[in-house]
Amino acid sequence: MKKRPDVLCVDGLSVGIGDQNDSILKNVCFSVGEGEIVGLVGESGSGKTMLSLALMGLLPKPLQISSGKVKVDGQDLIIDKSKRVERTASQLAMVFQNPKNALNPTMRIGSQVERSLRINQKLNKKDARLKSLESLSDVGLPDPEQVSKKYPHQLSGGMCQRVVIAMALACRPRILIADEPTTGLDVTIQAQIFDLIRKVRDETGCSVIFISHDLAAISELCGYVAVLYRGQLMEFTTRDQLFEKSLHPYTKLLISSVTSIAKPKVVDRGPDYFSNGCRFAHRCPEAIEFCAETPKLQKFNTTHYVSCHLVNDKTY
Amino acid sequence: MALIEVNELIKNFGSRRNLSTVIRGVDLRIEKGETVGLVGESGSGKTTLGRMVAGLIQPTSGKIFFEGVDISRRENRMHALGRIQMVFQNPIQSLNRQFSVGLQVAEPFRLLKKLEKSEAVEHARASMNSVDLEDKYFKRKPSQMSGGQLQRVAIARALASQPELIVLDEPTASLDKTIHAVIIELLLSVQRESGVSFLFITHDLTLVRSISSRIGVMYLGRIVELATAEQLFQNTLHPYTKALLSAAPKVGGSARPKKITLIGETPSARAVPFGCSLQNRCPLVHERCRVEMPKLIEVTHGHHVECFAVK
Repeated sequence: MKKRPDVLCVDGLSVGIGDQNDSILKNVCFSVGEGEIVGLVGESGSGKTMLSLALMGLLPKPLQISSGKVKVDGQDLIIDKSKRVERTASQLAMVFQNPKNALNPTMRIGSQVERSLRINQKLNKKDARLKSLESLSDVGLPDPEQVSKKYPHQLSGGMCQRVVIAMALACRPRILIADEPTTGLDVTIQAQIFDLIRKVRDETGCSVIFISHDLAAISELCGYVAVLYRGQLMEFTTRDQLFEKSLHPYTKLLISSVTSIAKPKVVDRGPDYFSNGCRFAHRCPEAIEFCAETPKLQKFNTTHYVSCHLVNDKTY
Repeated sequence: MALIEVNELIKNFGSRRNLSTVIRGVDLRIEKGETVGLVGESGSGKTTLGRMVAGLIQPTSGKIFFEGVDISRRENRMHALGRIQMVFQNPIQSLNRQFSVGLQVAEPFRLLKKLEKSEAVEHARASMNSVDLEDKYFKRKPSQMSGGQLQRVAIARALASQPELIVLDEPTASLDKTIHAVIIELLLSVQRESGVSFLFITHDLTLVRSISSRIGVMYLGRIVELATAEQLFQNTLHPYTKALLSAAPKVGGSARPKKITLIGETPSARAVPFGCSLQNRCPLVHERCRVEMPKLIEVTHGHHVECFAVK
């Protein structure tokens, strides 16, 4: 697979309260090509959601970006020393985990979609209404006129998720961040949402960052996969390479834990503080003394990056 | 005699004007020591069926026989007391947060087995040890324990009265993937030791395959396919089951089979279409599906399907 030109480029992003060592995200580097779907996978607490909030400029206080760059189409979004991302709705848009919570329960669907258009694209009321109906039908909602008159509680979870995707896409973003968009949904509806995300990508040419803890869902949808563990990026590669030639011990553990249910795994998650060095070291079956130093993300070929001391040019 | 035999079970909710038929005629047998899995999407009625079997809600009509006694009748309810237990989806909500977990496990020993408190506590300790919880956890409150540990407490509590059937309502749904295997191992070892039967309710197909001997697939309040785990996964017959299996994401690289995607969503239980319940979403739909209700028919030995298109 050939890598397409980068739309989003995240370089050395760290998020924390101050000290580098216990930062929630530590030196995260990855890039998203045009029209690509990149999966972000990790256990709970690995910093998946923090990464997406950092990209959206929505970090809750007192968290801030302590170092790093976030570029969309070559333009750096961290302006001066504000320590947060300043983005517009046509650059980055986000779909949240629970569609019912993401929508305002006291407003009709139509006016919520219109509002996003009026604020972000400065459309007048009439244009916003036409555009909102258009974007509702784009996401495959039957009878958008009727749907726009309804309240969120009158729609099913799958339909609400379509509405939220319509809102995010209404401003034609370059990158859509989808944070566990199908976690609360049934598998048949999940398959429909995946089809929708692919269709949206093909039609608008936007890139997608798909966040999930479900490796199966990731392997279903994404061309590239980034594996996060406790705020460190462990491996970043294409889907096929990840499953055929995963190099990082954590990725191997993760893949083996979903491909077979029969063998119980060690549940121990280790200490809750972040130690220096590789954060996976205390659970790693192959850990060596050298792991007390922080590994760098090394590039092995154009599409395979691993951060582990045990993987080097010789072993690759 | 089967341990549990459910006949023509129907359950309605709501008033006459606003009637939802959640269970629309279900037949099911569970033998001694057997695990029957129930899969289906949200709204298919699998939890309602489980709660009726556990005696938590009354069916509108139909019968539930427990060792030949109809326990859906009020006067026979005591017959199943303590002999059918339930483990709920969310252990944090199903445990009392003000009591120590040990006392909650001791409760069934006191109330159902009529033991003195000190004896009940002894038994509760043993029961907690059997689910791999050491004595130090006995005095903990639910808020001081992890989700996986709490679910083990809930299982210990269900086992306390030595039941013959445990209804497990999505016991792993609120837990991390790495802990699923631990809970499943525990359930299997409990079953090996005590010969208890399970009714295992879930929406996770890989999970149900690893624990059940027979699996029922539910859609809109009916069991549309009932077969052994082997038959269901190797020789899937009902179009809904096929779509459900194909929709479940699979781990792996490129080459993957074409998906069967159903159109639209599950209809509301308030407006169930007449005839086959899948008619509006089914790729194989024809005239007969809209005018006649299909019945659950045994196609090959032990493999029941409710579909006109399957011969």
